[in-house]
Amino acid sequence: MATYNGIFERSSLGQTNIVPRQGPMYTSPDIIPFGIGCVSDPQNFFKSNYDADEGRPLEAGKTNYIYLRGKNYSNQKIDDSGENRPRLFWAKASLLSYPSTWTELTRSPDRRPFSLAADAGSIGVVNQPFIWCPQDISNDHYCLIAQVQSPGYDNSIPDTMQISDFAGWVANHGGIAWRSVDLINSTSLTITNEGMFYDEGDMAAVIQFTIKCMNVPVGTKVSFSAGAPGPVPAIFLPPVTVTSLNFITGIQCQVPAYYVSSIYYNLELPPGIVDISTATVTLQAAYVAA
Amino acid sequence: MNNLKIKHQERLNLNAGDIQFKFDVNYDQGSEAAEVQFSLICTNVPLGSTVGFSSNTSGPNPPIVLPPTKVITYPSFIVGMLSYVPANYTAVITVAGDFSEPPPANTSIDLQAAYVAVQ
Repeated sequence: MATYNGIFERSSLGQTNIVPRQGPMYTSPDIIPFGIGCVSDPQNFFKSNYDADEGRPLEAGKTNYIYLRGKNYSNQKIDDSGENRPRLFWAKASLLSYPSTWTELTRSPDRRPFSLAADAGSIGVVNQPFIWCPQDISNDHYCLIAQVQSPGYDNSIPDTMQISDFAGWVANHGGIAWRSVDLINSTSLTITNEGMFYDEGDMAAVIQFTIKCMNVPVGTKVSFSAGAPGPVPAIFLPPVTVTSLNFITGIQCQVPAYYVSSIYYNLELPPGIVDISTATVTLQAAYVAA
Repeated sequence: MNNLKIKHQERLNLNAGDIQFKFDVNYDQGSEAAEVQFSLICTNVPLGSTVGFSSNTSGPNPPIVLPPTKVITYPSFIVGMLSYVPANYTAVITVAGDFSEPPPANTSIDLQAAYVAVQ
């Protein structure tokens, strides 16, 4: 047994920085699948909830967000960025021990690199969530593997065809986390797309974010989100059921100056409907000018 | 960014303790036909409340009707519809709904009629 004096990734709640970790390795509460929603201030939210597992099911075919956190047990600030940026991969459980089959999640809401900084003795949270649109899966499940670097520790992913004892490898590396994913498979045609790359400019403002659904079948569920933190409330519209063929819905947010983010929308059509050739969906960001 | 030009916006005069509400708002399109967004801007409206509206005269295509729609996000929720409104159209738009619980004092609902002018 040894202490891990870097940014430590737990495999279960209540753990401190002892390696090898004990118990199941696949339940890390520091990899936080958050579903199609996002939060306004992830730094504060996930630090204050460090003693809770905030993970939620992901939804197949939609844009989902995944946060990452860790506690710095060293006596100095650790700023993981650039080549040392935090990294997150997905893999099918059946292929978990074959690193070459993993896929890195590289898409960020503001199109800038990921980073994670933590003061000595403090919790750090990734600067913005990772984006993932998982596809349906059956007879298997997805896993997420996180890699968080710390000075003096080697948390590199083995350059081998197979990790013979995957759980043992995770247990011995304080900067590696593993989580099995709860996924809700789609039950009807589901579409996700980047509707807009939003740029607030140099003036903060109250903005109406709306989605216009023209000829979208009644009963379709529409939602949208912008993962970059900052706006209050977060730019996240939970699924709203379309009630007419010329439907508008949205939210109003206070957006800080210089805020940028991709805004993604999700459509979940009623069961059996696959023809939406006349439908159009438009994301609109507007400030109110009298 | 699109600039949402408001043709008309009226804040409903909600009373503390109201569980149901119903308001009539006079609408006048003016001399120019346009595609207009009719929206309810709900602020601090309790989750699970329902809101909707309808106009009392025909003319716009489609008719200005929003069936009762559940408020599913807090503190802000916008819901509405788009309609092509002919010139000189006038109507009374009735906004109605039910709160799922007594709303807080800072609850507001605005009926907004706007068109989008791309900058």
